[in-house]
Amino acid sequence: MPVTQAITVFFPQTIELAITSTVLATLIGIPTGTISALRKDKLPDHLTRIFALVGYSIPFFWLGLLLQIMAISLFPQWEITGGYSLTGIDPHQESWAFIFVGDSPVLFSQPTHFLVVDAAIHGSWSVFVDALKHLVLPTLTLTIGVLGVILRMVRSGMVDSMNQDYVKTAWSKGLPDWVVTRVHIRRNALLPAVTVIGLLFAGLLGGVVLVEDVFAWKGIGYWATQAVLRFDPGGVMGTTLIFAIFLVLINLIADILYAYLDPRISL
Amino acid sequence: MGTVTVSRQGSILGFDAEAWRRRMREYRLLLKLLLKSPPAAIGLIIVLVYLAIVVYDQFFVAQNDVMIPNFNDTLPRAPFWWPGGTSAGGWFGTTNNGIDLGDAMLKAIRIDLMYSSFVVLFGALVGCFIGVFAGYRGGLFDEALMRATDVTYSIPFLVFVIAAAFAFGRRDFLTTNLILLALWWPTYARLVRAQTLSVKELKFVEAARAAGASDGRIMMKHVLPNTLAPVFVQISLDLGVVTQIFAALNFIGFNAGNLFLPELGNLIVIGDVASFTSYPWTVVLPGVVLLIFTVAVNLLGDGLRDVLDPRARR
Repeated sequence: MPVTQAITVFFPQTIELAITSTVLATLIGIPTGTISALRKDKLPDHLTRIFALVGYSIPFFWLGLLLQIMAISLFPQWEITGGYSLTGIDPHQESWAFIFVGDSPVLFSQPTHFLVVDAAIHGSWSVFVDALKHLVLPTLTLTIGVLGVILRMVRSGMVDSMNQDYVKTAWSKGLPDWVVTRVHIRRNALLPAVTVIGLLFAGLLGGVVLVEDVFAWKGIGYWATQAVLRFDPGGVMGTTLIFAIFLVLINLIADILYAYLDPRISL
Repeated sequence: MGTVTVSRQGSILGFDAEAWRRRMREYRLLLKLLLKSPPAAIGLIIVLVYLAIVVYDQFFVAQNDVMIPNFNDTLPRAPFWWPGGTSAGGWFGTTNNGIDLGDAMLKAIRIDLMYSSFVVLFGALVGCFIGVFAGYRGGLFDEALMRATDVTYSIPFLVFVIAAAFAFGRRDFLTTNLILLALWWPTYARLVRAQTLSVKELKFVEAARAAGASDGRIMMKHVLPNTLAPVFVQISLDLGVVTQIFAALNFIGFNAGNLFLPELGNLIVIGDVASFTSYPWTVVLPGVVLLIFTVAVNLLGDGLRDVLDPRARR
């Protein structure tokens, strides 16, 4: 398979994981970090800090295996581990495939190579659910790891800005709680968090290699590992190049977001 | 020539006993402050236990660099406290090929800690010297260094190790160590450089220069010792990270072709091969050992940061 074609097949899988886990971690991390900072040194704060500590200490690949063990032994009826159940042919390998819906084979092309999106385009509900089910565990693994860092950044940023003079002014003006916490405290605490979320993609892409290996998720990390173990120079160069381009793009986006969040910074 | 010079303060050949005592007093104070916070104390104790295991392995365990399989009894046995475990499994059970998991993990801790501390300590050493030089001299070297560290920061470490190992065509430990080292010193160089920039403007540096000290002497004797606080914190935090990287590299197959290498990532792979759904302890236990070490090192690092950062010391 030519490297360009391989990248178009493998890379969307990785992006799918990276996007779902970063979005999930941000959605959970920012509100939880806010609560943790507002209830500083109380029970919710301690729980969040312990979770964050374990989250960023835990080895990705081990967490993935652990979640698989738990899913198989506790919820075997969910069928969220193992290969895709509906397709005879692995949809990651080919750009199109026949899949069996009921008894009749249906031609299933992959315009975007995001299986979830493709299934939605085709309107095949069963493939869509199957794809979503298989996203659960890899996403959860990456989310738990990333969440720890985001929680810490949001919490420490908020605790810092809570002691600022403008926050005291806002309180003494008699502004309602939610205005002070959202507009005065959190908006300023989000700045470092955004940089970290951008930088996390570097760590995330490293972690993706392991998570893809554990879940046999045919993404770019899995392909990179296989390329090294099989001494395939084209594969290694292709994956390294893609990782580099992706990182530069993410950092650019983080910079632009930075300027949007803080009007004092101009690009 | 050949005589021992004794200065007024009683220092022999540059060894200043008074300064040494003063430094020890300071370290004792730091230790006291560190032990005041329970998480940091717990972290320190766990790290010391792991270090004790390393020493014990090094000197009292025979064949400490290979796991001993038992081909007469290859199926994994559960530890006796595991649901369904028998006393034949012992404390930690056995894994695939009849390897005693307790024995293997004991040896694995030594291997993991030795290699990760090699990378971290050497990285810190190299980074400190380069950082203090760049920060003190400034100019073109400084500029080049900063851009180089920018580049290394933007590379996912695992991808870099994979690509570099491929370029060298080797996957043994020495190569992996050197590649990680190449990736690790910039963190320290940046830390020390940032500190140097503020320390070199202080009065005692000016005084040393006025007294006629050479640039090299000022850098080594006056600037460097005052930039080390964040370096210690970073060393502590990095030990956990590098240990995990080693386990991860072994996990994806960088085990130097040695299938019976006692290494936590390798143990997890062996357990994984033995079907972890039927024998979950073969995967869970090595991971727990790794997790406890990383958590302990992180607790210790956070505690050290609180103690060594004067703004946080209340």
